Amino acid sequence: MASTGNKSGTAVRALRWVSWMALAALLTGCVASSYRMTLALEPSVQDPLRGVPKASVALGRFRDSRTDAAWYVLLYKPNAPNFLKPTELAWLKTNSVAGVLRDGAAEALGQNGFKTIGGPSDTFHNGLTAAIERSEFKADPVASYLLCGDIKSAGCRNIQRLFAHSIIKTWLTVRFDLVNQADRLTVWHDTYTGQTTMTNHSGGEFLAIAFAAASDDVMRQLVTDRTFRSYFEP
Amino acid sequence: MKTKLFHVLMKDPRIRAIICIGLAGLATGCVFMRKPVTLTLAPPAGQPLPAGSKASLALGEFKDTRLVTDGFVLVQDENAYGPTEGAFVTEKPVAELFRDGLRSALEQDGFPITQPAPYELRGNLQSSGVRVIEGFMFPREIKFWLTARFDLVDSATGLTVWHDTYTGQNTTTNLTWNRKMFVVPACSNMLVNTITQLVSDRMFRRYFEPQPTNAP
Repeated sequence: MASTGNKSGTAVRALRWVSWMALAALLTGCVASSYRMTLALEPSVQDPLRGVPKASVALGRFRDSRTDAAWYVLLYKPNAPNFLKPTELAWLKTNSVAGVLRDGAAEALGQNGFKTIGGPSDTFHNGLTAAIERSEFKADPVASYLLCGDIKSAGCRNIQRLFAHSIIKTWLTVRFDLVNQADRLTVWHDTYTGQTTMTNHSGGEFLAIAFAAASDDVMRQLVTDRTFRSYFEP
Repeated sequence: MKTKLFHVLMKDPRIRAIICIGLAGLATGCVFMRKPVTLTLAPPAGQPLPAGSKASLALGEFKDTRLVTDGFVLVQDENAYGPTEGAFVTEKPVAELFRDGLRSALEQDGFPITQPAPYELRGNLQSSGVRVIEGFMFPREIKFWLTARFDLVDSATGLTVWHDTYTGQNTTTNLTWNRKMFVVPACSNMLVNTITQLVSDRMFRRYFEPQPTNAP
């Protein structure tokens, strides 16, 4: 009889452990979701060049030199500082983040009267061989300038509030280099940080919207930069 | 008598729960409150510009794009889960205080500030933060940092002729329970450190320093 009691006690204890583990898995699972998606940027900047542009620009290599995310990771929402893993992560199905940004830059320049010459979206990232990168630099010899980009950092900052949803501030920092195709020298470069602030946040859709808004801010800064425009405006 | 009453009260689970909730409220409340502070920047005198500078400058727009809740936030508070809406806040926007401090530093060093001027200096407080270095039991030191970008714009063409980004820092080890006692001087030093880097930058000064008469 005593033996049966011990056995049932052990079973109950084991069951308790299993339920604790299931609960822990459920809790951590909720905050470690990943979303696979496609994204195409639709820049909203409207500040067309005045007159016919005096030079053309080709979209060159766009790199992704973020140190905390892979080339296909669009954005992630970090967990508490003491935990390393992200809570929500959005990643791209087919293209690289740098490729998405390159397409967005082409779109932004094109719709503002810049004479852009550029091939289709690339899937280049930091793992490319130097040979392919060099060939990319020779892609459009007819354009006067080559616009290259480099994603320096991107992320979300979660500011907690006591009785309401947290404020999420998303940023994207990109460096642009304008290279003269004749001598391959950088004639202009600048780094912009695009930002957006949101309070309604959950899921992959939020991360995509936040990234698109931050990159839209970057495109606005690029297109409206008077020094950058001076290379094209007549 | 008091001790007996305390023991009787503490035996009641409801009272224990109320006390726990009250303590939790007190503990978390500190990092969710806005704490007003007074900040004045007094940059030290640097190397004065030689007399007869070749151009004057105007102070243009100073933006604040730090990832904080609003422009009055000097430092955003943090708990174990990261930043909270609690903050040390100044009376005027931080960008405005910074601009005033920069104006006084430039004037002290003999930069002619006029309106209008051939050059306009614009600024952007891009990011700021705090890093706590933990000791054995308590924080050992706290590092405050601020990254600011400056653009010198040719007023005639509207083109940027020079720009640079500096990170000002200050480390404090004099940590007290009253955090205002070390946050305010540390942030003041951090802002002054950023200003000093700009004012002493030789590339920036080149636009204002007179040409040497014996130049080849």
